Amino acid sequence: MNIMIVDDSRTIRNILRNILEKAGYNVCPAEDGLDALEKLKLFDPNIIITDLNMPRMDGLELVKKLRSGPKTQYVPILFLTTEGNSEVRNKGRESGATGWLLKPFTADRLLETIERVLP
Amino acid sequence: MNDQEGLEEIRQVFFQECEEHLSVLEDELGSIGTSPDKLSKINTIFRSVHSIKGGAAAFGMENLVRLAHLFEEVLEKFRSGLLDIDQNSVEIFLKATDFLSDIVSFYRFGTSLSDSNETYADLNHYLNDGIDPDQNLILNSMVPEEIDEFKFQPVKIDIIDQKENTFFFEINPKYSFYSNGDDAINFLVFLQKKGIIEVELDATEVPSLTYFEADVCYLKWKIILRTPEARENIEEIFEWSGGDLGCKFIESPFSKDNLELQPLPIPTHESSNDGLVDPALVNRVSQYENKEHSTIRIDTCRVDKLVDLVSELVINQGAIRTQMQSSNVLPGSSLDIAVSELNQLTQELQENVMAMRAHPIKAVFQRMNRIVREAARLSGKHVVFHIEGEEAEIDRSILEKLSEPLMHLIRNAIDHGLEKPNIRKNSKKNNEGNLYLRAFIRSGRFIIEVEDDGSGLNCSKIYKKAISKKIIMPGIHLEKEEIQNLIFSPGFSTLDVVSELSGRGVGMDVVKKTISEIGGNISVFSEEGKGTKFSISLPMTLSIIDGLIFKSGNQKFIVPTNYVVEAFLLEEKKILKISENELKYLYRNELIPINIKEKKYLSICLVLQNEKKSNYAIVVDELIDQSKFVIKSIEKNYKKLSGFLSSTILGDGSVALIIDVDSGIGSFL
Repeated sequence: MNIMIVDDSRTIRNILRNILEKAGYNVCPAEDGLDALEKLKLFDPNIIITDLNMPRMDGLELVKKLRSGPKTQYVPILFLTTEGNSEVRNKGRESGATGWLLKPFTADRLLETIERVLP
Repeated sequence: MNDQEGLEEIRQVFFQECEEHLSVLEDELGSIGTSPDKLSKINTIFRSVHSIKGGAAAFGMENLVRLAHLFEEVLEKFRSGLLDIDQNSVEIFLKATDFLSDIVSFYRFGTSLSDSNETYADLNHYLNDGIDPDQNLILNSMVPEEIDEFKFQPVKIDIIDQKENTFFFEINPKYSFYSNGDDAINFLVFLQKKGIIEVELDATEVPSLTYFEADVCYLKWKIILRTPEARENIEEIFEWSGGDLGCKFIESPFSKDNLELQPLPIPTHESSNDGLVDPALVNRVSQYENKEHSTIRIDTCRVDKLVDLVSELVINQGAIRTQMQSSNVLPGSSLDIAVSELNQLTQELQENVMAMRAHPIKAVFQRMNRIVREAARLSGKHVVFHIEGEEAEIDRSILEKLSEPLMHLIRNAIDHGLEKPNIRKNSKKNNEGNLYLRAFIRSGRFIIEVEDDGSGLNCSKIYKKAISKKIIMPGIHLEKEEIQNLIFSPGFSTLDVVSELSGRGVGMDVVKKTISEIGGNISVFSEEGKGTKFSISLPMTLSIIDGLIFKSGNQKFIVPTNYVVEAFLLEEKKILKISENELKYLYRNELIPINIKEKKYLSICLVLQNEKKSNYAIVVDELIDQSKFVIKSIEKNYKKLSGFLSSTILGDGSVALIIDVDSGIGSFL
């Protein structure tokens, strides 16, 4: 199973990568939306996890782009958010994300959420 | 079966359960220190102690009830967050667990009870209102005969409330739900992890093909969820998908009966009446269950009987095949095909029956935790005990015999192998000694290793000792490995002082004997100052052997495949005459014993290697086959034959002997 993680924070990328690789996933990290789009030319993810606030291209825009491209049209996308309010979540869903994951998260929570869309 | 027997059976089942609970306790306590979720561990521990208490009360085992009750009360303090788990409390809990285990043995086997004051005092320490100290005195003076004199006092047992909620709801996912990369089945599978769900698909909205649109969502699901989770947690799952899931709770529950009995409303869509949608498809109720292994307890005698019967079946199968060959049944004929199918089924049956006897080694390994704790305490050494591969499975009959030898090896490792903390410090080692217990499967053998990073074996000391004990002749040259393996010789002991823990060191020979009785080998590898490793190699099962069958004269013999190094045509020029009536064979620049007396023989040669890694050449007339053989004991049916492990019955009904390469090869030379 391939997972792409998009986050501008190296720490978050490392944490995610660490948890996911230990769980047996194949992980491709990207620094922001543009980097992700570039890497997607080679990498074929089964799921994409993206942060919302990133330089160059933010999460919402990335999701919209991904949904319009044939390769990633139906790939589950989870966005990471620190905000618990439903406004952000709705924005994410409107742009086409499958679901969200609240920061900070535990490893169990992360894996459970991934399993929710990748049974 | 009369009532007495029935009751005894229930009692036995209770004891088995106790053992399971005790091993849960050890497990959880062992890992609680490093666990992020201590509370859930405490809860598991609590439940196990609680179950023991409940059963014990039913059988009137006062002693057990009392300790379990006290243990439970203390755990309650931790459970409710009044106290925090630390190293000290874990140790006290482990001690309490050991003592619980002792009490269980006391009731089960009538073994004696050791002093319990300390355990009770430790536990009571956690309770402000400690129980009457007089109770301890009663417990200590207790002997089995006195059980009846105890007044049975009903102990109040509160059943742990496992509250279960039932939710009724409906989902009607919108287009965006799917276009965002989700799927209804994902949702249902996820929900299934939260509890037991019953799902009914409502496809009444699906129109006839004429009106059908590929990207419109017609399907709805009605769901009953039974779960221990609270409503908020379930709502959170729905919220995750926002409004796209189209979820709504149904307050007036539709019962299961309704699901089955009430026909779904006739589709309202006018075009549905043309019958394109099959109502049988619409009305499908699927059920997702929690995946749990269900187990039954079977008397081992029954399994053994089954194994025996299957073995007979295998032999019978061989007989049929031999018959067919002699009555010229054509390969590929319908009889031939039917028989080979039967063959395959029999083989599968055999494998499955053997698997029934397989049991994880965990059962034995877990017991060693306690041995380590006790040994460490008595010897005043710090030991970190590592268990690896406890999931590996081995035949039950072998498993049962492993406990004693392993206990011995572990006590030895702690007593003789590992050094005291101050000595370790001097040799620049960690204060804490490491003891490893490993199980794994390598080339069809089950391997168990007991390894310590202690002082290792002192070869020169062993050598001198072996001479003084007249185990070896003075002046004889031995390789390091050979010297180390002398410790398995009968009557050998390295320690001059008798230690409380592992006695005089007698027992290594007993360990070896026990291991070889179950078809295994034991060897030792040690480096002075660095540590010692005992390696036990066991067959996976006692009743089937993988062997090479050969003919010598008109008799057939079998040699276990794991001893065979090589088979080739004998080269006459490599046979060397050593003395008047002794020949040796030059095999890979090594002169090895061979079982012929004259040079004119020209035939097939098998090179066998025993556990000591010595090679032997055996000349045979004909190699027949390599296959699995069902072991039939000769001792049981005839008498012990030296040089042979056991026998088997071949397809034609004749008996073939299985050669004992380790200890019997000499008798053929």
